[in-house]
Amino acid sequence: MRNSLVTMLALSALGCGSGEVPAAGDAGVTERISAGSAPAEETRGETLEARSSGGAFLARVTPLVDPIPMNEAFSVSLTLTDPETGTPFTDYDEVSIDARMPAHKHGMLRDVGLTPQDDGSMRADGLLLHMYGHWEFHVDIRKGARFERAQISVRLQY
Amino acid sequence: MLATLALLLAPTAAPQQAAGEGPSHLGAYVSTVSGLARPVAVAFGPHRDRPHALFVATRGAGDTSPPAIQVFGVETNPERPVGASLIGSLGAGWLERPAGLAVSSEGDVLVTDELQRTLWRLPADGGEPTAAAAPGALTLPAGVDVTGSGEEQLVIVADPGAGAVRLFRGGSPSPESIGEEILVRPRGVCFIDGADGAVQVAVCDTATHRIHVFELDGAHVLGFSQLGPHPSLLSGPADLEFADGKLFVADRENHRVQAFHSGAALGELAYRFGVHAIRPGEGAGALHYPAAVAVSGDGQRLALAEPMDDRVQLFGRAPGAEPVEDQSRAAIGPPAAHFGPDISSSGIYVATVSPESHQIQIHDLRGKEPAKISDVASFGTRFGMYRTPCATWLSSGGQALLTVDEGNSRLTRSTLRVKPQEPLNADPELARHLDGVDLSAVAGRPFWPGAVTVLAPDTANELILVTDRATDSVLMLDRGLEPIGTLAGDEETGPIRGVAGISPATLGVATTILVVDSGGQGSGGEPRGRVFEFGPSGAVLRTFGEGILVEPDSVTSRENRIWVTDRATDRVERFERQPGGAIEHVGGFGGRGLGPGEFHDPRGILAMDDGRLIVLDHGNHRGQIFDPDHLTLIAGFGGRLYIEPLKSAATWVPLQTKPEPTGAQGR
Repeated sequence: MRNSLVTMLALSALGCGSGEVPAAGDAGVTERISAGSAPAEETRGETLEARSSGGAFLARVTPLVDPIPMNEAFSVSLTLTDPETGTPFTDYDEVSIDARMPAHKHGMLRDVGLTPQDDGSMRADGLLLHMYGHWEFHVDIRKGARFERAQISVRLQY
Repeated sequence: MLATLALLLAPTAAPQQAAGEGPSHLGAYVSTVSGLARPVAVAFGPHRDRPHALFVATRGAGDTSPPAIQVFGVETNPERPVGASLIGSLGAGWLERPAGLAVSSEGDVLVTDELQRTLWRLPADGGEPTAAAAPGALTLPAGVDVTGSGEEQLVIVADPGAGAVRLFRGGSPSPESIGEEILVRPRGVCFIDGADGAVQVAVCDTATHRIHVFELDGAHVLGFSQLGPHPSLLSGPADLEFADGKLFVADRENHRVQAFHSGAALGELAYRFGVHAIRPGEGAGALHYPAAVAVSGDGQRLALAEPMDDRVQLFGRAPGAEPVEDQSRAAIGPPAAHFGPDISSSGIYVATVSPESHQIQIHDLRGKEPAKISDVASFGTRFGMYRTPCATWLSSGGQALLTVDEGNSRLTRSTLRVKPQEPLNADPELARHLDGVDLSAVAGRPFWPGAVTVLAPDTANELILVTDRATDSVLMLDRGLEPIGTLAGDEETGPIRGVAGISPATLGVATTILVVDSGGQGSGGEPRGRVFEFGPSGAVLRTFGEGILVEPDSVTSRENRIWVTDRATDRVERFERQPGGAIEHVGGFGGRGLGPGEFHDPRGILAMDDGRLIVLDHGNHRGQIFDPDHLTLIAGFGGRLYIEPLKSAATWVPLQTKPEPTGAQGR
C-alpha cells in the first residue's frame, strides 16, 4: 500500500471566528466531500439544539431535509449563539461538525466542512448516516488550547 | 533476578540458504538469546575480530545487572551451526536508561539514554565514552542510526520528546531538526537508500502508527500505513531497519515484523512474519511486543529485542521471496490488550487505560470479579478521540472522567452516566465528552503527558495535575483548565528524572502530592528511584524510597500507607508515614512470575477506600486485587491463561458496596 487510506482533508475555510480549518478526523476510509450547490428549495427538518458543555454557546442544527435519510448525503444548517444574549457566538478559532454512533464506536465515513452563509449561519453538505440507530451530532469549537462540545442526539429509525 | 545469562539454541525453524541459490528472505526463526535484563535496543556491527557482532542494550533488573550493552558473537554463516556467545560488555557505569543503539562501520557504538537525555559515543578502541550531542540538543531520545565515517558520518536520532528527529553531521554535537511539523512520537529511525540512490531517513511514529521518509534536508518524501491489525497496517511501530532493499518494521503491538519495499515501490508491503505469543513466555518465532530490530551487515541475521520477555530472538534466511504463512496462526485480528499503565476508581467503578486499543475501559466491581461495562472513545485525532491514552482519573461518584492522551497531547473531560442503583449492565454509550485542553498549547512548549490526578474535585479550588515527561515536571491546571504553575525538584533534591506516577496523599489534615521519579540504576546497579512529596504550597516536603526503588512507576496512598510499583524489580513496595511526617519503607512483595503476588512489569496501582489494593500486572495481561493488611490475594482479572495460576490462591471477598461519598478524592 503505497499511500495511506487516510485522507487528511483540507476543508473549506469558515467564515466565523478566525475561520480556520477543522482538525482532521479519525482513522478509516474517508472520502472528500465538496460543498455542492444547494437545491433551489429545501425542506427543513426540526431544529435540534444543545448548549455546550461549558455553557459558552448554544448550537442549533437544522437538517435541510426531512426526515434525515439513511445512507444518503444531506445538508444541515448550523448556528452558534450566545446562550445569554442570543447574539451570534464567534469567540472561537475553529468550529467543526461531525456525526457519530457512540454505541458502535464509529462515525460517518467522511469529514464535512462548514461554509459561511449570508444570514450568519454555516452550512455543512455531504453528511451521510450509513446505519439506522442512535447518532449524535458533535459541534466542537477550539479557542486557543481549549476544546468545548455541544452534543445533539438523533435517532435514525426504520 | 535474571542474573544468569543463558543462550537457548532452538532448532532452526526453516532451512538456511546460502546466497546465490535463488531468492531468499529474512524471517526464519533461528535461536533465542534469553536471560537478558530488559533488552530495549539491538544493533549489529564490528567488534574486535567479529564483523557482525550483536550488540544488545539492556535496562537492568535491579540487582547485579546495571544498564549496559552486551556484545554477542553471532554465527551468521548459514553453512555453520547456529551459535552465539557473550564476548563483551560496554557502557556499564555510564548508562542509566538506554533507549536506542547503533554501531558504526568502525565499531563505534552510539547509544541514546533517555534519563540523561543525551547520545553517547563509545569508541571501538575501548576508550572513554563521550557525549555526542550538545546539552539540550535532545529532549527525550529514542532510536538512533549511523552511516558513513569521519566528516561524512551521519547520525540520526529519534526524539519523541520533541516530536522530531535530529540529524548530526560529521561528528558535530549540534543537530539539524527534521519532521517537526509531521512527527508526533517518533521512536525508531534508520537511513535508507532513496530511489535515486541518495541517502534518506525513515522514521516510525508510535502515535500516528505511520512510517515517514524524509530527505536529509528535511523535505518530506512520503508517509504510509496507519493503525490496524491487517497486513501493511501498523500498531505502535517501535523501530525499523533497512536491509535487503526493504524496511523491516518492529510492529510492536501487532506482535510481528513487516517488511516494506523501498525505491520506486516505497511503502508497499513485501511480506510479514511473526505471530503473537499466546502462552506466557512462548517464543521460537512467536513474538511478544518486539521493541527493536536490527539486521547484520551481511543480511544473514535479523535480531528482535523483546524487553517484556527478557530476550532477543534471531532470525535467518529461508528460500523464497517471502515466508509461507502458517494459516493456523495467522493474525486475523488485534490481540487482547494488556491492562495499561494507569488505574483509577470511584469505589464501585474502576477505569483502566488500554493503550493498545486506544480506549479507557470502565469496570464494575460489584460482581464476582471486575466486569468491563464500557470502552470509552476510539482512535483518532478529533476532540473526543484518543490516540494513545496513558492516564485516567475517575471521580468518587464515577460520573466524571479525565483522560490524558499522550498521542494528541490532550486532556479530555468526560461524564459517565453510571447507574450505581441499578444492576450491573454494559453500556457502550456510557461516556460523553465535555471539554478538554491541548496540553502542548497551554504549556507553550512540547509536552509529553503521563499521569494525572485531581485535588479537591468539584470545588472552586479544584486542581488538576498532569505530569510532563518532556520537562520532568508537573503542570497544574485550575478548574477552568488554565495553567497556574508547575511542580519540579528544587536545589536541595535536584531534578525529577523520568517523571512517572502521581497521587494525592494525606499529611494530617492537609493534602500533599506524591510524584514518582523513576530514577533508574547507578553505575553499580544501585537503585536511584524515589518519590517526591510536594506540600500544598508546591514546595518539596521530602523525598523517599532512595535505595529501595529502582524504576518506580505508579504510587497510591490511603491514610498513612503508601504503595509504589517498581517495573525493574517486579515488586510493590510499601511505605508508612511516621509521626512527624517522615515516610519510611516498611516492606513489600512481588518478584517476577505468574503466581499469586508475582508480577511482570507492574504498572498502575490503586488503594481503594475499602482497603483493597489493585495492581495492574501489565506484562501478565491481568490485574490482581489484594488485601494488603494480610498480604492475601483476593481476586484476579484479565487474560484467561494468566488468571489460571491465581485461582488456587484467590479467596474472593464480595465488595462491600456503600453509598458513594461526595467530594472525596478519586485516587
